[in-house]
Amino acid sequence: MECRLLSQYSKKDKMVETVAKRFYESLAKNEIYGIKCNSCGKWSFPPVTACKLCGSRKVEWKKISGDGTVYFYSTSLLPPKKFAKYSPYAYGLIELKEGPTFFTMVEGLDASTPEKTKEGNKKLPLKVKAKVSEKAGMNVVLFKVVGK
Amino acid sequence: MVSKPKSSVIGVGCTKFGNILQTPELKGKTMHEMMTEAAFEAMDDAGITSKDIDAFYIGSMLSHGTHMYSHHTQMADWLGLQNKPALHFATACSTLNTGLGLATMAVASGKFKSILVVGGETLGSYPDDNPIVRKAIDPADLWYWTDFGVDQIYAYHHCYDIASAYGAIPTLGYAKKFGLSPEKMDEAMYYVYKAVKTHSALNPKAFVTTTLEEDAKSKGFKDTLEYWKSKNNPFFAYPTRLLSALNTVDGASAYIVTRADIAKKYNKQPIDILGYHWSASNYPWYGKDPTDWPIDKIAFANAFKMAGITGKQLDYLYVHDCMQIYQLILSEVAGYFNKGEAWKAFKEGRTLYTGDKPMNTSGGRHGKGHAFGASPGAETYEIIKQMRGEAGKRQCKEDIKIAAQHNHGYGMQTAVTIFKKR
Repeated sequence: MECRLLSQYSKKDKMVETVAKRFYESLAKNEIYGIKCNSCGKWSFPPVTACKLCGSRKVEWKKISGDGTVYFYSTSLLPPKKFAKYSPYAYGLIELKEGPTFFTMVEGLDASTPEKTKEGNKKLPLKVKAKVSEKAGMNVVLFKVVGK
Repeated sequence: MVSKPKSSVIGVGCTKFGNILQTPELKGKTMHEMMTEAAFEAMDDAGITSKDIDAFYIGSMLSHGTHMYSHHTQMADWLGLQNKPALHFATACSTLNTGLGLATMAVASGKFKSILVVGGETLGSYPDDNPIVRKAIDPADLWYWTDFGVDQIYAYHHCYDIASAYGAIPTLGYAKKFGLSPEKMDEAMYYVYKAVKTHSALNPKAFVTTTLEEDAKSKGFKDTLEYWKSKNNPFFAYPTRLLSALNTVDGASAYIVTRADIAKKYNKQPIDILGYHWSASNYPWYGKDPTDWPIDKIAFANAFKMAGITGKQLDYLYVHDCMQIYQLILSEVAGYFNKGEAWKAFKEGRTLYTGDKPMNTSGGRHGKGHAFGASPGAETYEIIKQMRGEAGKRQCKEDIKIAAQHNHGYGMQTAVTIFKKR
């Protein structure tokens, strides 16, 4: 775990930057950021204030490639009210090429019935690519299937 | 080597789980009265009065249902514990399991001798600006508030789907990892449900008290497996069926933790706490193997280490089962069963109260019902009653010397506590 005495920080270092605002505002420019740790070299996604693997604060913002793999998906009879209008939608477990796991809506997977969800899962894993899309009034990161 | 305990549970209490608006045993009660009922039962069970309680902790998660915070100040009068040290705490659906560790720390420090821990939750209705008039909660609102417990910066806004992430995908992962066809996996979940129903039907304090056979017959089925596969049990999130999921309820639970060296003074059969541990993670708490859960491995390993035991030494296990697939995954994480073998144990009836590896004998979060922060206290109640031989019709056939209780708190937190009979 990264540890520095408070006196070693510059005034700017002590400020926690607006991480969430920066992430969501970057999506409007079609830029998807993660953070890369300068202590352990691992990626975290989405960005937070410290490395999700080693806890170091020495992290830098970097754009992710958007490449990943979807391993499983399903859909619920009772999605949050906010997303009910999109139901049924495929909610998938994705591993980014950079390493982190992320869950979101995946386009190109059929979740219209339990039978389609069953058949769809038999074809996984599949390669996916990230895209920015507006859902329930916000820009968010989705993935779409691009091939085997 | 089994460690020397610092604390013991000397009394337990638990209300009927159900709905305040409908369930006869709860109807017309307030949150305060439910919690008091559980607390008084625990005090009477221990054979102590409020004079012997040095401090009390109140565990509760969802303020939207209770319309409370500062539960500990409001409850002081009701419990007869005015001016005692007290606090409100929460780790969501693992709250009263976490309380076992918190109370142990407090008595082990020497500051207190005995602590009362009470949990309460009202999820079916809330007081409508009037303490004796309640308004039903819409399930969509309940889940909107409940989801405040999951990553609110990113995960929730990325089309969050709890039933897929907590039920469906771990089930798909278990089937894939152990080579179970969709049909075989569905049958495996039927056997888990059968165990849930067997136990809850024998538990008068459970929310669901009908038998599986009665339910099937009421829908025109003789064969309970055919009933399981019918339209009466749709896929909540494929491959997870509706009957594999929790039932949210109202209820309260309580226990008293005392210093181990003086526990015998109050209670002829104290049950010792040998170890405990907690682990917290933001969502998602697993990666591309949806059955590999680091928070649970860490919590079990450290609780076992503190207790000086291994999972193989457990005579009894209660795991969190808001989704019943957890009974399979977590019993294997705990080492209670070998990897990929839990589903066979359920099919063979080994996890029933009559079996050699009993689990979740009060009916779990579907059968007993899920009252979020209060549920772990109901599970502690079950474990203590089982270890003392006071579980009535569902009393385990084999003697229980060492037991483990596991709970998940939404978001996700794991709490594990290990108990031992003297």
